[in-house]
Parts: sequence; C-alpha cells; structure tokens
Amino acid sequence: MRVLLPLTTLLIALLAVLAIYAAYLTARGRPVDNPMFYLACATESAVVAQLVVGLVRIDDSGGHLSKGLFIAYLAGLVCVLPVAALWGIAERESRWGTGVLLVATLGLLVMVARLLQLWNGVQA
Amino acid sequence: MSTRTSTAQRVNSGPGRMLVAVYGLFALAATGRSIMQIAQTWPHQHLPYWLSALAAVVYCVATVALARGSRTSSRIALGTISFELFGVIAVGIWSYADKAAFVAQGSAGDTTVWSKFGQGYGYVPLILPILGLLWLRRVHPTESAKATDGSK
Repeated sequence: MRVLLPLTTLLIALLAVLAIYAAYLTARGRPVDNPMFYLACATESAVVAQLVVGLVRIDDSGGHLSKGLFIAYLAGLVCVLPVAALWGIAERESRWGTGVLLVATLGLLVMVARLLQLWNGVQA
Repeated sequence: MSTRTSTAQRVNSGPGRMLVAVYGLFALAATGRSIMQIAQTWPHQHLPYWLSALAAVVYCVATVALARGSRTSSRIALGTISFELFGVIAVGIWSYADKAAFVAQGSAGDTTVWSKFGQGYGYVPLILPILGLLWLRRVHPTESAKATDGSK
C-alpha cells in the first residue's frame, strides 16, 4: 500500500511547479498572469481528481485509515485553491496576489503530505 | 493623512493580503483538526482538544477581521492577535511544563496547534501573531501618533 498513486505524483509535481512559479512571480513583484492561472486550473483539476479517486478507493487502504479524517482532507484540499485564487486575483496591482497563491500552494503541499501519511497509516 | 477608507484598503491589501491567506489556512487547519478531535472522542472530554477549538475560533475571527480591514475590525484583529500571541506562549510553556496533560490516549501527543509553541506546524503559530501585530502597527498607527500629526 505504500505506493504513490500516479495521480498523487502528478498532483505533487503540479503543486511544486506552481509553488516555484508563484515564488518567482512574488520575488519579481509581478501579479497573477495567464500561465499562472492555467497552471492553477490544471492543479485544481488534479485535486478534484484526487478527491474522486480517493473516495472511490477508500476501502483499498486497509483498516488503519481514519475515513472521516481522510475525507475531510480530500474535501479541504478542493476548497483551498479557488478561495486563494479569488483572494489573490483581486490584488492585481501588486506582488502580494501571487504571494497569496504561494501560501496556498505550500499549504496544499503540506496537506497532500498529511493525506499520504493517513493513507499509508503513518501516525502524525 | 489616512481616512477611514484608505485604512480599510490598507489593512487587507499588499502584504496584508498574504497575511490573511496564512491566517485563512490556519483557520482551516485548526477548525478541521479540532472538529475531528472532539467528534472522534465525544463524549470523552480532553482538554487539549478544547484548546485546539479555542485556537480555531481565534484564527477564524482574526482571518475575517483582517480580511474586512475596517477600523472596527482592525481593533478586533488587534485584540484577537494579541490573545493569539498570549495563547501560543501560554500553551507552549504549559505543554512543556505538564507533558502528561497534552498526551491523549493512543496518541503521540502534540495534540493542539499551540502546544510546544506550534512545533507541529513549523513554529508558524508562534511567528504569525508577531507578524500580524507588526503589520497592524504599521498600517494602523496608534491613536496618540494620529492625534499629534493631526490626521483623522
């Protein structure tokens, strides 16, 4: 069971790219641009796919999985990027809009790590 | 020369917008955590879980207060964030002084957002209120400073 699902690998890769790009834009003092928006959309699609796959395969992980917590994490993940995008895009004039997305992406990476720990039965 | 509106624009814009994002994330994390902890052990009462719930309420109020950015909500944010700093330091000291109180049955401990000064969250809970207070101080100078430079 300790295998990383291909989907989760893709999700982590997208989140990492998004985080690096957001950090780059924040450092350069640039607001949210089109590539960032499309990248965020792709990442959100992967998060939604993760929710669906997670729910479908919830019984495959063995008895250790705390299902309520796992579903809470899956559902929480879906909400983070849209809220951050709305909040960040509203700040178009400055670098801090991309800063918001940087914070959200880093938070998502931590949440995905916790999700994997739950799935693999590692106690926090 | 800050009017009500410009103050309103400043608390929740610029770096403040990123600060709100971090607060929002912690509001989500602490709320989720405390709801799960309390729901899973109900009706057994365990003190650290209620401390998690308290932290969750503080983060939620601070997030909304900072995001609204009006004069009144800045005051609420100031109060909440001051309490947050007090909370993380008090619970941090307490969790080291009385470790037994913070270990639930079958758990490795570390059961609140604020225990061990937020170690489980990369010490962000300790740094966040300090950044919050510095930010509020910067955008919202003290009343006496305002009175002397004559701007309302």
